[in-house]
Amino acid sequence: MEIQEKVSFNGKNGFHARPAGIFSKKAKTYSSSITLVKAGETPKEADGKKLIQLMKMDIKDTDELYIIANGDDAKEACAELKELMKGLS
Amino acid sequence: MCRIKGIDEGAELVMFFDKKILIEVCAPCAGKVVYLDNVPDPAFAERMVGDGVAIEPSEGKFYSPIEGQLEHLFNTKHAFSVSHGIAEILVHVGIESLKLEGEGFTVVKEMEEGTELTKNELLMEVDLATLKEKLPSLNTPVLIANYDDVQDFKVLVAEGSEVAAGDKIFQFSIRKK
Repeated sequence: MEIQEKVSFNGKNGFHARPAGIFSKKAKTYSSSITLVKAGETPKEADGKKLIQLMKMDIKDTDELYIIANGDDAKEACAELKELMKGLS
Repeated sequence: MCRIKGIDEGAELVMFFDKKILIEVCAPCAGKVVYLDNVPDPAFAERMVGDGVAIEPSEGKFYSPIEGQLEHLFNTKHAFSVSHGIAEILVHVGIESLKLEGEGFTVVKEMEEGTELTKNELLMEVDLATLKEKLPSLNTPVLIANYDDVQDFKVLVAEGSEVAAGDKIFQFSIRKK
């Protein structure tokens, strides 16, 4: 099962070590694959379970972001990561 | 994998030898060892970013902690990662140093993603006085970011001990492909 969710990130300092660390740690708890996608002129994507890949995306709070989860627990993963992402800074 | 014919006729003994590579991570700067538990940022203290040790730098010269490739240098220069095989080592200079937006950081090695780095090669010079004035802590976590992918992780230095840049601070092994 593949689920896609639009998510928002409000951290003014970007998706740096702390938020990316928290996100990837949570993402690893799901059996589904987790991909974080940044839309826009230069779209980027990263494996949501890989910290450095996430940090390399250089995400800003203004970016249009999507989580794509694929697997048995995709639904929970998307919903919970969306909620987590909202609170990160 | 090594396959050995068994003693009994028809019996086959299959042996798998673990092919591991030991990776020793060096202090990227001179200074005092601080265990992650004592770093004043829960993201590091609670291993959210990875496992390793921190150094409270006494000198502003920062070197590559391992031989490998530059994985990422942040726009704000406050952190960089070097990869060796699957292992990704992150050096985060100072706590909340992102806010400096590059102030106080001078990259001396011309490098981009994929640039080969030798162990203990000088990468950047940091104005510790500026950082000290503006940051809550100079603690510099040196971490294996993908901790879950490695084995036999071991810290090699004692809390509070002084290290020189290039001294081994922790080690782990990865599986050889």
